[in-house]
Amino acid sequence: MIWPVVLIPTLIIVSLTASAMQIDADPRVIVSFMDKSLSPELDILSVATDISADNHLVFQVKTRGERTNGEAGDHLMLRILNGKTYGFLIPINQGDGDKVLMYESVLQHDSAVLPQALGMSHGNAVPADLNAKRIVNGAEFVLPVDWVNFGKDFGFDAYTVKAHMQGNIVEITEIYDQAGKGRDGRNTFSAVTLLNKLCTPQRLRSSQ
Amino acid sequence: MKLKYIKEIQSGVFLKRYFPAVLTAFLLFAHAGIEAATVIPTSPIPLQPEIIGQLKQAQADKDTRWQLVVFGFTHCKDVCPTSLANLSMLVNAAAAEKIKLNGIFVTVDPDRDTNAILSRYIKAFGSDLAYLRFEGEVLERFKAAFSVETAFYTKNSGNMQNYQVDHSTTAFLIDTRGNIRVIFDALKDTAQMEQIFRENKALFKS
Repeated sequence: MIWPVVLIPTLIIVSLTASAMQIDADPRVIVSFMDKSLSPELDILSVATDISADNHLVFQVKTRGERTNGEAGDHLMLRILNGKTYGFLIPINQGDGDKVLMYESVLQHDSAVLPQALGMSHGNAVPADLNAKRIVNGAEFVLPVDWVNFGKDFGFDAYTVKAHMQGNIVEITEIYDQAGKGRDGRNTFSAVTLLNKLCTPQRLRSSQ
Repeated sequence: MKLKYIKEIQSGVFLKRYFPAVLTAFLLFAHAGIEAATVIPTSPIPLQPEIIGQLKQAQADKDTRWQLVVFGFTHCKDVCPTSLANLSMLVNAAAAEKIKLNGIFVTVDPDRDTNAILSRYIKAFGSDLAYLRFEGEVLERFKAAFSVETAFYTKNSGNMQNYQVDHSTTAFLIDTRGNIRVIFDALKDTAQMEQIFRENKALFKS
């Protein structure tokens, strides 16, 4: 009976140490500071990526809270750098549905900065199985793995914004919160990293 | 029989006897729960000339073979042996489809993996496998070319022998011109890779 007593605390310590190391180092995860000056549904806590069993890239954005109704222009926005800058938006209000709209940058600009205006993506530019679904306190954006250009650098961030849609253009009139605030929006990495799985039990949490 | 187990549970003998098995099952489950993806990039991903040259060090007939590259270290107890066994199996599966393919194991732990150790290690998995061993900045550049991630635990100047290395299990199929053509998981995607060998002959002619 002695060695379970020794082994279990050791495993816990190793697990916590490894997890702490990965939070700082893992480019697939953004941990965001809580901002209590914001309404809970506008305060982003984290963004994490994973690959689903059916070869889809899942971006899970968690907020401190959620709401059913409110200001109609408020959106949860995922920004992805994948050759161009893309913006994926769903309404913050659960009552407004979970249809995801896809936009892309219309002008050359600093890819680390969220463009003030984006043009709607059309035709083949929109992945057929682009999807979003609500989860408790947040949403998941689902994209096919094939959409990613693995020969280029990749980057992502999430925002809560006030957006004004007019025709094919979305204008970002206010940014409430940015998950990667303080990182300067420059956390780009090789897209192959999205596929990496570390051979360690600590990665169990990623499958839960 | 049931009574025996109940008595063992009550006395603590059950936990003592079966704890290693339960722990092993948990750790295996931890690996099994991870999803993996086999990706054929829409455009081949070219490797830098330096990396292509280094890959060619590992093969005798330098220009005619595709290459399957996996990363690991010889002190790895469960994951790397599985990767190597899968690599060997895939090289054989490719040969059965008349695809010329080399399997290459790249160590992420050159401090412990000497050439002698690596040579013995890969021979245990099949005669068709080769290995590459780089050190320092050369290794870091090679790993970066494949986005390989590593984390060393408890390795320090006082402990250069008994430490653990976490590393990504992503593997790469590379064509004769040095382009990455398929990205897959060395542990979980062997069936998909065998299917690619059987059914995607166009890939190997392009």
